[in-house]
Amino acid sequence: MSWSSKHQGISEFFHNKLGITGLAIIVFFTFTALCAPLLTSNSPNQIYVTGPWAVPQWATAFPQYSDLPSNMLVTSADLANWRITTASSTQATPQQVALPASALNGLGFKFDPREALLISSAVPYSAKTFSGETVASLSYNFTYEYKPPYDFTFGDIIYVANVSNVADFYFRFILSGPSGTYKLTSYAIMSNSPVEVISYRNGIPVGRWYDISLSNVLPDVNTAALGPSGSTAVDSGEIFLAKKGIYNYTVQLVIIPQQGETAFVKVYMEPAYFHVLGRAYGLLGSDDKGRDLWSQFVYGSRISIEVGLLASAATVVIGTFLGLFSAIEGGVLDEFWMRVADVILVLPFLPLAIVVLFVFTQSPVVQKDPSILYIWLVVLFSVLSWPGLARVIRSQALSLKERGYVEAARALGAGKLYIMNKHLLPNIMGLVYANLALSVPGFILTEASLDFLFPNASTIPTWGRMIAKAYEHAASATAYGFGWWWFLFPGLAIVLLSLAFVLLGYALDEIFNPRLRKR
Amino acid sequence: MSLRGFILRRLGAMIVVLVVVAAINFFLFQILPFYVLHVNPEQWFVPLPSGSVHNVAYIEKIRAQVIAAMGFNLPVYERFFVYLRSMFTFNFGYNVGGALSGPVIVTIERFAPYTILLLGSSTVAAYIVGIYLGVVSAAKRGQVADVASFTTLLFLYAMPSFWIGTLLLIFFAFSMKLFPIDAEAYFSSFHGIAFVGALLKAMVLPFTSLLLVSIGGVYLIMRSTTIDVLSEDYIMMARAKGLSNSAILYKHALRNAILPIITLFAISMGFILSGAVITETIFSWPGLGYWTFVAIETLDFPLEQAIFFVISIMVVAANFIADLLYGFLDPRIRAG
Repeated sequence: MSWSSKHQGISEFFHNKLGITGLAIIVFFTFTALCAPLLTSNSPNQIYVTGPWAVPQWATAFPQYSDLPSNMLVTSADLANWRITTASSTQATPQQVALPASALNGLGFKFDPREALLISSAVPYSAKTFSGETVASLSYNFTYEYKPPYDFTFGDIIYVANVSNVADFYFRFILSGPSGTYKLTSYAIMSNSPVEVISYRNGIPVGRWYDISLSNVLPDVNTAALGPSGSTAVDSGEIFLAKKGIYNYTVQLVIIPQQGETAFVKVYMEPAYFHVLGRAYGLLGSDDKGRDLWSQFVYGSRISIEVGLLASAATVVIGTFLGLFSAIEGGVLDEFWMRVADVILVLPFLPLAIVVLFVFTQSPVVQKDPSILYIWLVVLFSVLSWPGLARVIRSQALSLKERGYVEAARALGAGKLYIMNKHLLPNIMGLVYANLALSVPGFILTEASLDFLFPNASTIPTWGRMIAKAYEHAASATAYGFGWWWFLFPGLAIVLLSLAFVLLGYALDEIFNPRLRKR
Repeated sequence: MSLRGFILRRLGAMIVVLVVVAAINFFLFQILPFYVLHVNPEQWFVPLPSGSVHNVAYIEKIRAQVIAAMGFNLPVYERFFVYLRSMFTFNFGYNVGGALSGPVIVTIERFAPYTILLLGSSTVAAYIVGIYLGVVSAAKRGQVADVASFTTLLFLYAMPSFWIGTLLLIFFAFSMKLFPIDAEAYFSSFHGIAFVGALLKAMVLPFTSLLLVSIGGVYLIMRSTTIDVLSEDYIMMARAKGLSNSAILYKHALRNAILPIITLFAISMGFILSGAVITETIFSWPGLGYWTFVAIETLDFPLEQAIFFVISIMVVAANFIADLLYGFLDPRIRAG
């Protein structure tokens, strides 16, 4: 193809509206795939980035979602905003403190305290207060004007400097408001549960900063401690924050002296935090474990584009080469490759892909590094799909071979490779380009289908896997609008991307295939 | 080449292709399950006839029978010939997955009708609707109706079948509760006439899903071939003669434009048995597609081999019929 006709082809392409639309969509998704880490700060598999089943943030514009809470940190790092009460034997002084970075990594968000309350307390033993004496409490008022959240987390960062003569000391978190007063942690239950680390006896360390992080969702939670009467309600947020209004959040330090002794404790307490896990989050909401769906969506575009383009490129290369080769070579080799093509065309594509994928997922190599799975998929796809193109190319090349100029070249002593390269290839490039684009959607759809059928093959986020997970949870999702934001957008993305390649292919076809031009 | 020579040559090629496919089938499953499980195939025979749990002698007898019939006591190359014979005599061995028991051929005979019913009806429906819309769309090329249907059907064409299935299931089964969620569990509790009603009711969603998925492809091809044909000289001639638009469209254009579609239809009828793995799995429609998936999950490789082989036969036969049909329908090819 000469320069001028190539130039003409390009300008023609830019006059083809559908082709341009397709190209724009492809560019968009390529951009999201390449820039995934820039477009989202969350890792796609990070749980409880927000509450479970959070709707997309923009959905709160609709009346039925209007007063859903977003992620909110109901606290203040400034001690001046807290009401501090202490027992008579206690000294409390606010101090500026420097925390190690490790103490600041909370539960998917960064809480940056600037101040801590230094509490020095001597508690004499008395039979009356054998279960302990509250020596200091920090309380904070906040207004909650949303529907109740499903989940929340809470905690404090502390530094125990000095301890003597204590049987135990512990921290108690209390939430009170229009829905009632709830001890978020209850000592009676805590002391029975060795995994809890909220009390000195159960493992609060001395001499270093320590992050007490509790929630009603994470595995280290004693759910029994959260319910009003040992109830194991999963969505305890719906009980504790049932009503709108002003709530009071209190954290208390309680000391139990050793029998007959005067206990002494010196501890730094940060303003405690209370984190409502939102029911509206980000661009695409969250899944059943509070993972960010936008992040999964963005990372998912990688696999679709990679598999689609690579498989299509490999198919086109193999198909074109074998098609041309068979046409030029003729004879036994031609017959051989065409019979191979016959056999492959008879094999059922999807069932075979399912079998092979199943085996791949069981193999130790893939289990160690799941991303290899997709490379094997590309190989499988191209091996199974070159015959269609090879046949088309072969018949095209066979008719070109008989043209006068090819015969002339042959008469001048041109070799097979030369003829293939200079005379046949340029004439079938249009067909090749169009096929390159038109075969991508099939691969994208098949890859997504395989992910749908084997959602647990790996944890790499893909659009197919997102829909599979949404489908898995559909039965239990009645209360959550069936998670429409979960299965709708990855599906739309698959459609758009496939469509984009179809449009691009049509546009190329129209440019290179004069018969299709409008007359 | 005479028609008879053509047919004979094609038949020969078909048998060669089938033998090769059967061989691939054999070695694929021969290597894979061992690779996966590293166990003795004898351990797979989990299904036991109920009530015979303590009858060790009986179980051993059945087991020995199965092992002998499927050649598990032979070396691989000898087993291959046992296998080949079993494939070409349609005696596919026994289910070993545990989900099903008994001879594979019984399984196939039992579940193939569901697939044929679902896939057959939806394919035929998709072709009828697709052809009609394609012709109308081509005749009104560039008008609002054409643009609207082109856009819609292109969208459908690009939709993944599992997504359509999921959407339909969630909206019409989970949310509106109009149709059953688990098709098989639903209709198998009915008998007699009520069974037919229940079967049809359970079929609505998978049918719609498959119809929507396959209609786009038919429409797009039909539209483009019709557009091609409408630009031919003889259509211009017909117009010049003053024929009505509908006469041109249906008598002159459609007859020529429909040829590739008929071939395509014959080929897609060949893939009818491969079922719609995804759609059948989503709606729990107990066809061969559904069992293809279950067979893989339960490592029931005799069933998988049998399904693959039956599909291959159907596809090879359908391709052959398509070729014959094309020659029969297109006088240009018959003459040449």
